[in-house]
Amino acid sequence: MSPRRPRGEAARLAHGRRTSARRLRVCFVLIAVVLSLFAGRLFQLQGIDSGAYAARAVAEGTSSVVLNAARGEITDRNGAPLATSVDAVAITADPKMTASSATEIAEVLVQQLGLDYFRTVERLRKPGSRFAYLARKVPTYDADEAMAALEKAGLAGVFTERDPLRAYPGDEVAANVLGVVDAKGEGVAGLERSFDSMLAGKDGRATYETSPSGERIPLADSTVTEPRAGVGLRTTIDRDLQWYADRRLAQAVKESKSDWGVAITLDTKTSQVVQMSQAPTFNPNDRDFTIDSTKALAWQSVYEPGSVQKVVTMAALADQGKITPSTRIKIPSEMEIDDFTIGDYWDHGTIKLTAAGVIAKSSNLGTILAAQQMDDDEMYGYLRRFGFGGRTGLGLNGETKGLLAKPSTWSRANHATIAFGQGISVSPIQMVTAVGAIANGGTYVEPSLVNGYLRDGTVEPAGAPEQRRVVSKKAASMVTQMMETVTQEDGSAPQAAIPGYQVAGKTGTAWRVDPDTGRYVRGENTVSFVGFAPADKPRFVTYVVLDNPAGGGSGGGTAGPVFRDIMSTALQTYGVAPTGAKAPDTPTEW
Amino acid sequence: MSALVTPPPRRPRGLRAWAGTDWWLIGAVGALLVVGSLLVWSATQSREDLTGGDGTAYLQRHGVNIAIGAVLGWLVARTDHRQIRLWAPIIYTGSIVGLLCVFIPGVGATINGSHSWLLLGGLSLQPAEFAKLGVVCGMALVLAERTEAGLRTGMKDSDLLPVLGIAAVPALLILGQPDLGTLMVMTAIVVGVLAMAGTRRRWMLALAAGAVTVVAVAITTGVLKEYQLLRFQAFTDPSLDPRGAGYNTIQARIAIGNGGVTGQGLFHGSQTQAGFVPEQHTDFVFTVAGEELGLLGAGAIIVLVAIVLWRALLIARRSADLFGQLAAVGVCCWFGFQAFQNIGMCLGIMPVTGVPLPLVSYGGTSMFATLMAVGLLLSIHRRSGAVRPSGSGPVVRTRLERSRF
Repeated sequence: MSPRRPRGEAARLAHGRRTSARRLRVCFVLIAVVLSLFAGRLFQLQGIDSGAYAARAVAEGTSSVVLNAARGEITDRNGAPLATSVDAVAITADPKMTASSATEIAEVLVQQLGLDYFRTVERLRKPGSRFAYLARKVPTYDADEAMAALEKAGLAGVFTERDPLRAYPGDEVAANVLGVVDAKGEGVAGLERSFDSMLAGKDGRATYETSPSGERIPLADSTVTEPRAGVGLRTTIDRDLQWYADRRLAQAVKESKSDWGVAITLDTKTSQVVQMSQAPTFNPNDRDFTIDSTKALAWQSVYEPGSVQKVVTMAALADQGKITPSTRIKIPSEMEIDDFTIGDYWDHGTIKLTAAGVIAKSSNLGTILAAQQMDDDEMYGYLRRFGFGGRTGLGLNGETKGLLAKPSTWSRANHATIAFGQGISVSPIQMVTAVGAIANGGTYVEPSLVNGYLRDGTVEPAGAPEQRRVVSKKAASMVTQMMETVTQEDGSAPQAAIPGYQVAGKTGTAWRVDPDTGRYVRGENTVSFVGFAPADKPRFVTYVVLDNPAGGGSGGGTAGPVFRDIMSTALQTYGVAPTGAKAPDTPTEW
Repeated sequence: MSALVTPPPRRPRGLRAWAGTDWWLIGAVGALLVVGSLLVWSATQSREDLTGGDGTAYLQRHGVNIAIGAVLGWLVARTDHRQIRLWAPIIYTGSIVGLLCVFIPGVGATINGSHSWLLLGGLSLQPAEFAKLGVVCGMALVLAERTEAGLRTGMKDSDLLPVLGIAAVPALLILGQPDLGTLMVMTAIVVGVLAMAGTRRRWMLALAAGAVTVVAVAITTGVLKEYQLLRFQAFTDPSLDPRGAGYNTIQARIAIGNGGVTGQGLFHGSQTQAGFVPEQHTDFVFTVAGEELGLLGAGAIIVLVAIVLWRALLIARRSADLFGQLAAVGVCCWFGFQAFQNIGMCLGIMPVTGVPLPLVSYGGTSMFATLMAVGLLLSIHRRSGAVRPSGSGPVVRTRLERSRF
């Protein structure tokens, strides 16, 4: 700066320099502020809102397709398929492409697949949409034919996608055990429902990137979540025996004009259900059954079991050492308990029967007199241990507990009637498992329908069922001895005898309760027969129940032959040789 | 460095070529160039409609642009900026001629709605980019000449009109293209240079008022094209027209938001690779960083830009002469405003106008001009306050006088 410069000018220029320096600083600050603003905005977009934007990004640039997981197979104990998933496809359309040629396309599809013309046209013209189902679960072959026909006619806009179809190769075989899946592929009954999440697996999803105009970008990144195939079930059912039992039971229900029938066979050692039949049943391959017919009566129905229950009462008494097969019981013609008059199904004066005779002839009064040796709590305890009044451990949806009142509410009459199977309600699976415990030497094994799980082609065995001793081996063998008299010539069910084998059994002819009134209906019975063979080395226990046969029926006469046929088929199928044991010479009278 | 305390008036060229180099600036610029190349590559590698099948086509061309730009920048940097000051009138006039050529049929071309391209042989050039450099040099020259001729250190009110005139000529030509983005950058340069030159506050306010009036008149009388108005409207509410004017804004925001903190990885941004964001290798290149490199990568770019701006301001402050100081400030305002405008529109806090992100976006002319400006900064830096002694007055004074040859 020149010294000759006037002071005022110098001051002004100095001021100018300061201004510049200040403005430079302002500029610094401004840039810092703006860049901080950017950083903040960036943080907001990417740190805070990023999830929402990422989702929008996915939605914006992609379209996704569900990849159906193959539903697990259900097989019998030998691996024969009972329920399988068959490749099928859904026929879909892009209405944007098909709207103009809807009638032509519909004509082809009506011809090829038998679709409804008007509904199809409507779907092909679905406004504002780019997706519509035309038909679901079309077998692959038929779909291929239809697509070829469309292509030949030069009609575009119809597509197929995987849509597996559940097929039951045996039609009605074990239908109520297997259950069924609904149109969405979800299990709605039986094993299909109880193991639905396991069988279903997990659907995958393929998300394809699409161009801004909506077409899939070939070779562009696509995220594919592979479907996880469902786990298969290997059941304990023997398909052949099941098939036979289904037919035999259906025939019996038809001939006896019963409301329904159930037949169950267990392996006595493991309580595995070898066969579980129900009539009437349904065909899961047809779509026109009622949901009511899919109910599995074996574990979802209750009824009063009647005299079959006497076996359990006798086992409880024998376990306490209170009776033996030869224990002598003097039976009056009738008894009056709590103002109820109770008699036997046949008229008699005072008779003298052994405990074995009580079972052989199925005497209510004899059972009441024997059961009077134990109190309510003792009897209730045995019933619970035999699995009554609780679920069996079958582990399936909708299993009933049956009806068993607490002993504190019992009257003397309750004690008496429960002893011979009235005033207690059971399910077929409860009863057959309880008798199975006697066949199994007094050890109760929880029943099971699932043998193992099929994962990636290997069988993973199901866990061993729980078991518990309920009566002594000696008591079990004494009851077995009593039960062997039933199928003798002078027993209540000679029809259930199998030539060459010793069969221990028990008939049941229970008064039927009208569910509306809660009262017994005269002339309506629930008849049943339970038995195991060979009696000295039991392999199977089979229980047959027929509800409300025409004319009342009887356990021995109506259910006995069904038992005989199913049991003898089971013994033959599994090559169980006759043991050659003679019928024990157990006196029934004295 | 101490050798430079009292530099000879004309130092032999080539000696101590790297002494006094601003390594911070070079480092940040280099990093931005590298990141930019990767982003341009990523944005174009799967765009067969652009690349014609060769995924690296744009990377190669971008590399060539950088190489040419680097040579130009190096030439500028090794030239004494007082030499450049001599050439300033030529640079300025050249850029005006370039802008005029745009209007010559057969030489000018219209791309993306703007009549702003020159097709010379196989090259397509945007003279408006060079015009930024021209205006920076022109304004700095006029202010420095007038100030130093009067042996002043600040500007007089009478300097205002010639300076505005310098800016007005190219501005009017650019308005005629029209190229709104460049015009806004130009405005930022003018405001920055004037402010730094010490224009009185009342004049600054008057200019601001004038600008507002011009914008209001432009909107009401329809000088602005309809698409430009639409862009501004879409900025205020992108969902107004999601398939049209708001499309860019929405897609850019989605792409950036999609990146999250760490990004989806280079070459793996779904929005980017699918080509959802239009002009992604040029104006919207920042969204590639946002999606593929995430908050960290995009933040790093902002930090790099901040370093460049910080160095530019520092160079301006340390510059021993007025021309250097004003030119550096002009370059800083140019880069700063352009980065601000570009990143801001990608983030949805500024309206969409087509300005590239300096040193990052694909684009030849822009890259040449930007790197030449960087060269100018380096040149100013090498011959200035890097060696400035603690005292101020006399030394500065001497050098200021000496800078007039």
